[in-house]
Amino acid sequence: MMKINNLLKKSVFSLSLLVFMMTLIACKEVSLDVQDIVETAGSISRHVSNMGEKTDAEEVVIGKEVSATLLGAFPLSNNREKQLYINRVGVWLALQTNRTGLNWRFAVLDVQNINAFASPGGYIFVTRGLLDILDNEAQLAGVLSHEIAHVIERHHMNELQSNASFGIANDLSQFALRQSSGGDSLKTQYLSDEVSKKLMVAAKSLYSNGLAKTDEFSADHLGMLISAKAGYDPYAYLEVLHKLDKYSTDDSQLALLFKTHPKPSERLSHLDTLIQSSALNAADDKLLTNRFMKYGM
Amino acid sequence: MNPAKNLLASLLLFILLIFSYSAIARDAVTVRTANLKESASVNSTTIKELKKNQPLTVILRKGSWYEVNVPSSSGEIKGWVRMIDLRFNEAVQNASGQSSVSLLGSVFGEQSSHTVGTGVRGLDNEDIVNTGSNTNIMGLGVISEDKKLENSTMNMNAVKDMEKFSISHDKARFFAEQGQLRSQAIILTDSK
Repeated sequence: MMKINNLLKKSVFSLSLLVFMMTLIACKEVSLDVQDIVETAGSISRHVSNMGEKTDAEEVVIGKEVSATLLGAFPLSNNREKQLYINRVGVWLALQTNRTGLNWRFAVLDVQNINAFASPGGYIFVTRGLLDILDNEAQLAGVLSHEIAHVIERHHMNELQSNASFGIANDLSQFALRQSSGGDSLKTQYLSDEVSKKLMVAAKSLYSNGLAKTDEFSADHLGMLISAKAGYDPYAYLEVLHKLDKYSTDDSQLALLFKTHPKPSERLSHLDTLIQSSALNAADDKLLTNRFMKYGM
Repeated sequence: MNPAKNLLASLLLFILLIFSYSAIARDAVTVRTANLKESASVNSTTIKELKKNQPLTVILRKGSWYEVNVPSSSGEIKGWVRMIDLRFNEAVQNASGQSSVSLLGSVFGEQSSHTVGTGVRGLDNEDIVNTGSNTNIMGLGVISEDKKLENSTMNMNAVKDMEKFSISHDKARFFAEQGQLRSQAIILTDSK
């Protein structure tokens, strides 16, 4: 009887062990399945984001066309020294970011109004009127960094790709598909005439109406950090906002800037959190006033 | 040196001093309650708590702080206020009723009132002179930035001209070195 009992106990134990092991295996399989699902979902989401997010090369092609529209409205300054100077400052700032592979180009526009523009792909524009009110290279760095931040965060690209009223989102994603499907690389360096025209209309509307307020606040924030990382006094940018704030809201020189941006006073207030944080503690205090003056700025 | 020349030299020096002071000093007001600090640091002693709309004069800047003179019954108190707590435009307008900048704006405002019917806004001198091939509005040839954008045709040649001024990464680094600019330990984060 004892033997039978022992046998029974052993069988129950073995059975329990088997069930326990099977459960473990099952659990492992389930966990593997879950992991697979997570990975698959991740791959899908990456795929989707890749569909939406242009490669640097694609963004440069789009940026060139947008820049051509801006330059069709506002001519380049013919002062070569100023053009080279602004590129030296601009590229040094862009080198502080995670998008050093873009086609960073900077230009002075021969326009008396006070304004600055960024275009996808790394094309940045500053008007002669804006340069006239600045005192030093650190202030210029602050302005350029704000525009660079728009490019880093793809504000204009996202707007062109997501704003249904522009009617160009599908065309832009198809342009990406042609690139990724390994079509004729020479042809895909340019947008078709039809898409190009649509992009021009979209760009006109985008620069005439401006980005979302949140994009401007975000570019102010990231811009100050870029300028500080490059070794400039980041607070020189607050002086620029103070300067803009002194102008009357109906001043003709700032009509487009005021139409497309939040009020300078509001922008200053939004930077309070960043200034009170420790994010800028390591900042240097270089202004480079003499160098700025030397280039006739 | 004769006394007349002495007096003239002193007078010139006095005028120069006044001029240089007024060139630096700028009138401002607080836009919220703000602490007047002994030095440019939140940890320094608070001299006085300033109310919103307190007029003061900005002397110089250090980091995110302005050194200011605050008028009081017992003369002026000198101290430091955060840049963010001040604005300059209100002060100019409060002092004279209308700022020189807004006065300039109102001159152009009169001009733009002639063109309200055409929907044109934002005029400037350059636009009046430099009309190019753009549409002539009201016979003045005045084009706003908005209108210039609207009339724009793509200028790919200008993009190619822009490319000519491109600077290599190495040249930009050399330029930074010349200005003793060094990359700082700052982390680029977004505002969210």
